[in-house]
Amino acid sequence: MRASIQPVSAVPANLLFEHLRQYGLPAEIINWKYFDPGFRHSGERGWVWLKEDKVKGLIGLLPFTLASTAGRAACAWTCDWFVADAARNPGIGALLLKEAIEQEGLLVTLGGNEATARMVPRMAAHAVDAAAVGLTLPLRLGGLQAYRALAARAPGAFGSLSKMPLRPRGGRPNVGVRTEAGIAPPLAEVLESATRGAAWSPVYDFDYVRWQLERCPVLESFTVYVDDRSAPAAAVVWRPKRGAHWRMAFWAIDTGAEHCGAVIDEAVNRVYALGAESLSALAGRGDTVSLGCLRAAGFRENALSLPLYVLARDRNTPIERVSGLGYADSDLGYRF
Amino acid sequence: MSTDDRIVTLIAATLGIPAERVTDDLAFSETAEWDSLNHVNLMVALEKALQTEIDEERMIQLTSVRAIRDFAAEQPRS
Repeated sequence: MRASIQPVSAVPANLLFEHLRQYGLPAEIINWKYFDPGFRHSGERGWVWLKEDKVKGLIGLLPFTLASTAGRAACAWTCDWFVADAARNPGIGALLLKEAIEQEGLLVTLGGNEATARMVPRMAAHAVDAAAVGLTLPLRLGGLQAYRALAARAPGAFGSLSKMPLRPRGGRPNVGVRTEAGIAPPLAEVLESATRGAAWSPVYDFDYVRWQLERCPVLESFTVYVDDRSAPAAAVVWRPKRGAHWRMAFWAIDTGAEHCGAVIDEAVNRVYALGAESLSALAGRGDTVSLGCLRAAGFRENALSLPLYVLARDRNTPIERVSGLGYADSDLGYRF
Repeated sequence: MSTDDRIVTLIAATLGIPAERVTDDLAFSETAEWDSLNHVNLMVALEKALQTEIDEERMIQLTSVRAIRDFAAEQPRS
């Protein structure tokens, strides 16, 4: 089909801005997500459908790299898939995604909304149900799902019970661990050396993580890292500004399970001291090392389960699944 | 086979529904099978069958069997 679908780079910024505002994205998020020069990348940030000189449809992209022992592949996460008045513009959403696949070659969708669930599996070269699972460590009463469900039903009835501690203050890790506000420069080395096995996994550089978890205007974050170059391990921990529920993403090499545990323990201690009600992480269902570290620290699976879809121009792509998943992936970081 | 019959067969095959359900009044989103993705698939199949190009402005107008029949009738015979 002949389509006048355009890359985001060819469209005036104000048109994209106006389109995204319709869907409730705050101006500060749009500016950060699509126009922050701190997000250095080499790829399109999305594809739009222009009608009557206005953006009427968008599929947003976040370029990143997948790597395995087999090599590296340029790729993009999908996000912000919106078509104005979709009922009167049938097929535009599918056309946008088809065009993005054709032009980009390789896209990955993690999670998504109802439209994603209805359409993307049928367009995907590979689909993995429940590819990523959420895990939570409740630290105070407000971190228990059951409590939150009750409190939601009777707002105000529980007073300040949400702050009631559920655990004693933790001990110090037995390896050298450091903490710095924001995204600390030592993370760069950890990202570079984090284990990449036979399975394809996302690779981010320092600028990417800094953009996503430090420059994002609605988040505040800190970095925990092991001060030992022989077994690098680090975590980035963040929350919505002044929020009570924190998230964590961590990176390590396989031989660094002990260091990984130390980083997680320190992250838990730090957020607990800051009044956290819970700390959550996301891990690939097959990521046994990550899952093992989190379970050992007391994290338990919550209800979150995300499917993953590989969308490829070449449907015989060898990339059938993606491991090493976490909250730094796609645009999950700021979506609490 | 007449153009009308070809259109009915093409719509039924693309949407995966029996030909008897392909009446003039059948329209996008009125049946679960005619959703956004199958609408694009239908337009691609139509382009191939009629040897024509359909841009997205036209695509969003071809949302009923009647509209598709009328569009097919306007095309030069191949």
